[in-house]
Amino acid sequence: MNKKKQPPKLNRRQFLRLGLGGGGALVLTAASVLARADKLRELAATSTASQVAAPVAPEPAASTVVQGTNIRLAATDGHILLPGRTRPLYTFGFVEADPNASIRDVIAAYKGKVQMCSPILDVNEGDEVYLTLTNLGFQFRPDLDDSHTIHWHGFRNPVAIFDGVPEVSIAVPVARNFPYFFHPEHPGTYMYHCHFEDVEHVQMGMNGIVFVRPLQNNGTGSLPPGKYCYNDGDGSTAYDREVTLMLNEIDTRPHDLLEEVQDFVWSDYKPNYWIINGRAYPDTVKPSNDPSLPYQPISSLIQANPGEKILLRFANLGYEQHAMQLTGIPMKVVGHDATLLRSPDGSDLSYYTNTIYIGPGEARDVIFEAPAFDPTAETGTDSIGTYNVYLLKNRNYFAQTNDGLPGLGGMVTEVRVYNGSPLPPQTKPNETFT
Amino acid sequence: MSVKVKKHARPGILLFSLILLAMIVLVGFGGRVRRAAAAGSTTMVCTYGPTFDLRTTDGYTSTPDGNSLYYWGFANMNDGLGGAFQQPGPVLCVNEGDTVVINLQNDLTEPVSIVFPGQEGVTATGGVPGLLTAEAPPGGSVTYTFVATAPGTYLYESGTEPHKQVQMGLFGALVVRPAMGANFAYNDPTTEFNPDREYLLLIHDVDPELHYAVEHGLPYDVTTMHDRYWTINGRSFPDTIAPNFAPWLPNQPYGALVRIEPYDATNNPLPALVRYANAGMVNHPFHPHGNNLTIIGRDGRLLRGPNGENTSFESFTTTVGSGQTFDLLAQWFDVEAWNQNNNPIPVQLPGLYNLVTKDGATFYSGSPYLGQKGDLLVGNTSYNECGEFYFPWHSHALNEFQNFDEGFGGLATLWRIDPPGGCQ
Repeated sequence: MNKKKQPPKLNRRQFLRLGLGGGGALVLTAASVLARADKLRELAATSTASQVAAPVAPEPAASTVVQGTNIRLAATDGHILLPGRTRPLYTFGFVEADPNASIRDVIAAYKGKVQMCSPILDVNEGDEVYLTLTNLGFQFRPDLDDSHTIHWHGFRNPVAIFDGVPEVSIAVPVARNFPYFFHPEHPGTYMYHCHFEDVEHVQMGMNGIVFVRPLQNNGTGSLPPGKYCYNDGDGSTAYDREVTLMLNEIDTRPHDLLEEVQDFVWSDYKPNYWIINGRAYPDTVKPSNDPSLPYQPISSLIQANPGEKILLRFANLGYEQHAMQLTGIPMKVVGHDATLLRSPDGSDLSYYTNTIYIGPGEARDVIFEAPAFDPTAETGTDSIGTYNVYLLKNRNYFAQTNDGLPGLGGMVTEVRVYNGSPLPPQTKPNETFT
Repeated sequence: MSVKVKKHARPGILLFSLILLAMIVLVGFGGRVRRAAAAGSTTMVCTYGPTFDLRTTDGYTSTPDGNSLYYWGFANMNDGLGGAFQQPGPVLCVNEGDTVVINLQNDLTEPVSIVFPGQEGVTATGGVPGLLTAEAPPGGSVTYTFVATAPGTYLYESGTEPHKQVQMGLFGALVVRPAMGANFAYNDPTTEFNPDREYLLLIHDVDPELHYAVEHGLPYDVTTMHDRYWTINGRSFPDTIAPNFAPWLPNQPYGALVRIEPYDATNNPLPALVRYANAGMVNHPFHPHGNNLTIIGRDGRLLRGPNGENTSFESFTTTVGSGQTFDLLAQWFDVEAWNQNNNPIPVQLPGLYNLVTKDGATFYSGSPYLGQKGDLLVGNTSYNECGEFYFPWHSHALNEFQNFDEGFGGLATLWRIDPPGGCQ
């Protein structure tokens, strides 16, 4: 990202006065929860922003990825920003919270300040993952007492109590915790989402990507330790960098109606925005934790040094099928719905393509090799250096717009392959360098 | 938005209760071994050939939100009722190599026909010439004949103004069983399944305005199609989990509850077979909670590569395109084998007063353990029989996971995991 393009830094009071809303996807460190909560209460007391655009504390998110085996997600509401739309969009979702904080403090810190999409959960095969869901309630719809759940979409052989479907087990009411337990045994890319009134809650933003790293990352007799997508046995899913891409659409009508305490007929669903990781192009290529998008911390920018292998973890929790096309670089599809593309008799079912056709609730693991830098090709420049740009876009070009406004928008991001090898190693998924 | 849903929830609760009561009553009469095929079952209901006498007729179906829809349909004239209206048409089951004969009597007021996608060498006798095949004029008849050469799951459907007649309900499923036996999907030993666990999920999407237009002789314009209901085997969830031939769904005889027991190497080694077929106009991403399925066949063809390699694969969502069929194997493994005595779940669940069961009614047993029942709050209605698990099996185009605007409905069923040996 070219730093010159970044907006001027605002302090919190200036931000509030501007009425930008949007708010901050706060992912607080454990130690700061109490102090931050006090600050936010003070800020809220001085706020004169309207009900509609009221979220406070536009601190940039501290993290996009949640790792470890003791995770807490808090469910609440908030607002995000979309290109071409001045009114912040009302959303529901999950934010990371300190597993040891009291419910009262988590509510004080995060209620009404949700992010979109929800944090990336990064866990390992064989881990015993304890995931506590805390329902904070809605800041902007205090009349609603919706419960929430976590459904790990695609998790194999769950028991009903940990599958997160309220009608066949339980849901978590406002101001309560629930301890989910997962013991993932199958590497690959999955999703998680709320299953309470899912037609509404998923569209409102309660969804994220969860993926499972294979045991093979520790090394085997024949393979060195490293980054692999699956236990492939032959290193065929090795990669250097990874980017998760959560595909969604947004129909802004139900978001606006919900905020105004109005009803929506969900079979009238007809989206007008198409987003990746909670952002629409050109916001998709801003860095992770960009201060101009305080509640949309996850970048979709794909940065590569020439020759590096890049793993793209696609998941679709929209309600439409999407045709994700990368022009100029072949993509090798190695995984399908958290399964290595290899048949029961060992046949290699992986394939090369330029277009991934992916339906709602489906996932793909795709690896491409960044080509050599071509100085004669059209190039761009950012703070890292000079790069060739390749567009990764939804070929269904109705999804390349922001509400029909002129210019490229929607479900589009960029692959930037740099001159030389200026990028340091990636330490976590969707880490961007500026 | 719970405020709205609670307002409308009561009919659903009543319906759930009726369904479960009927399931318990009906299932209770089944013998232990043959329970899946007994009365109360939701396994695939075959109408056996190879000669079928069908008629076209009309009638009404009901939706879980209390609506009723005017439909056309194929009916079996040998059903003991002279061909009572049903939706969808009977499931035509034949064996590989059979010469299949279908006599069609048309009791609608416009010409109709049947085409058999995936079948070769279909001949028509009688009737009047039509665009795709011979048609039966109103009050007339026609006969179709073909040799069923390829095992698999297929559709049969109207070949006359299909944009109207298929939407109105003139479709059904055709199953060709392989020479290897009725417990195989194809002539391949890897396609063996438990014959007591064979399920058909025949998908359709419905615009009630188009049905209303046909019922009342108004102009029919398919370009205005706006789906409000979605069906599996002619029913919308939660009606899909009611048993086959549920008396309160007289014109929608086929259930879709997928019911299995955990894998056991000795007592339950074989998977269930699930056959998807999409008779609708758009594709549907179909997602079972609980486990990945293994796709073994597509459009009546075993998945094999050019050199005979096995190209079957797993998925947690299978997008079924318009007119497509898939054959899938389904199993559930009790991986953690949790039980309350010596292998408890590793977390302390909150007390009941700190949890919510949706709308005071639940499929949850009250216990996290398979085969155990536990406490529920006073006033909660439980549909759980013996501690079995339920998982949704639904379209992940979530705008289809509802009836018009009422969630937990529409293009969905449940996957029921019974404890080993079934409910005692």
